[in-house]
Amino acid sequence: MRTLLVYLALFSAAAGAVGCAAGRPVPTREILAGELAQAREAQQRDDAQRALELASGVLSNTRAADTDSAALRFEAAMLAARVHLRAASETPFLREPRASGVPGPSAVAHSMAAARCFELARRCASAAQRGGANAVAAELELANYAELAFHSQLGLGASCNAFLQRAPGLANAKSAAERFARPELARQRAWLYLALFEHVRNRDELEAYRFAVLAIEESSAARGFDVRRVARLERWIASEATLEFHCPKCDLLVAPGLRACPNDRTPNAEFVGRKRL
Amino acid sequence: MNHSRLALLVLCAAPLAACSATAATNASQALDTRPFPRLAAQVADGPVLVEARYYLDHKRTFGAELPREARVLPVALKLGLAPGAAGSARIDPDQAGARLYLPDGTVLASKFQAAVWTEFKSVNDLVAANALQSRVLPPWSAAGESFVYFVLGEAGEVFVRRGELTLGAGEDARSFALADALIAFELELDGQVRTLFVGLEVGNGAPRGN
Repeated sequence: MRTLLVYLALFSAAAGAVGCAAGRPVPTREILAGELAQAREAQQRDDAQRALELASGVLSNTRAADTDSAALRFEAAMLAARVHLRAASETPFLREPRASGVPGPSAVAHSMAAARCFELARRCASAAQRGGANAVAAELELANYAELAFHSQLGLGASCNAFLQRAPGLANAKSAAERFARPELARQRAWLYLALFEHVRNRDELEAYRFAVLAIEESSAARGFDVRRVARLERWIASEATLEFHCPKCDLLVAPGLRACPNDRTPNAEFVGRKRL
Repeated sequence: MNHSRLALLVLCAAPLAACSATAATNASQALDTRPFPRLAAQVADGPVLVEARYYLDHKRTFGAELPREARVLPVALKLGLAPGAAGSARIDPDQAGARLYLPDGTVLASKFQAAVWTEFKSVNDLVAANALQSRVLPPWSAAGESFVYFVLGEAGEVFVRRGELTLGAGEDARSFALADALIAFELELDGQVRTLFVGLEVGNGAPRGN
């Protein structure tokens, strides 16, 4: 029941602009800042539901267009998104109906809620930056990558590609790896590399190979990235690509099940491609 | 003369330089606040293709506004095998566990068509006739649309108007575009149970291929 209440509160806030319009007294900025600080503390002690409850209070008492409170609103939305992301990958507490008739925990519901919070954050990001919020651009980048990972996990290729077409900086494995190095993305990296693999596989097989290798390497940390997906990537490397991949030092053909060349320990990601004979 | 021209040039250039520096600073702080692309409403998962659509004017198909008359949201699914795809896929609505995720994380269950009831027999007949049936998926070119029905709960809990769904009422009401919702269901592909996800397209028109 508490879950439901927290949850209703958070998103009635997200629906926006309620407190002021209803003529209720609006808490001062200091009170809201205090609530946000408490939300951060709750997040740190893994009390997800309390963190969401407090973040919802900040969201329901701030407006996207109000520069004075936009920084608080932005931070509250990002905090709520992070709480949902963590719940999605570790201990989901939102529920979904099952064919068996018994509702079960739903990582997807948390990911949907996180995406909604990211969108709330985007809407007030410019005002938040003017209002002094820190690292807004980096936070928005995190939001985009988290959503890309979610769409990739769902198998929604069209929306992944639509995003990647406007993110040319990710088309190269080295720069993508640098951008995805943030610890918050540890459980999403395999899905991110899978999206990039699918995006480039028909036009740049060498880069696709690198993304496939990185996805396989990160697969053990990614919830739901099962052996079937790993096997599909390994099959593409071993036989479906028109290129074959060799160690640049000893010319040994890649073994997708290994992480590096067994002769000289050259990582698989550094292998070179040549036309399959 | 040269000195006065130089002074004039400096006077003109100074604000320009300042402007240019400001522009550079603004550019460095430019934010990408574009929304993330919507959940794709057509998906290919291996050999299976799926499309999901909510028809704003579904009254033309059923003869009634089902959210109001039967407290269900009718969503058309088109399921088929990709051209040239190998493999066999089968869906059984009783086992599919179709569910609809709203952007706030609320999840609506689906209802068996036999449990969808209005006071009009003709509507009930159309609900049954258009419902998704247990079947082997045909090739995409031969596939038509059929409906799954998502439960909206008691009157007052969920309200559907055009392409928007509202939960709750009064100050606590929250509304979402149905185009931001996500559908999931299970089907059997080569003997293995697979979960498919697809976004929802909202539009006018009548179901295709029925």
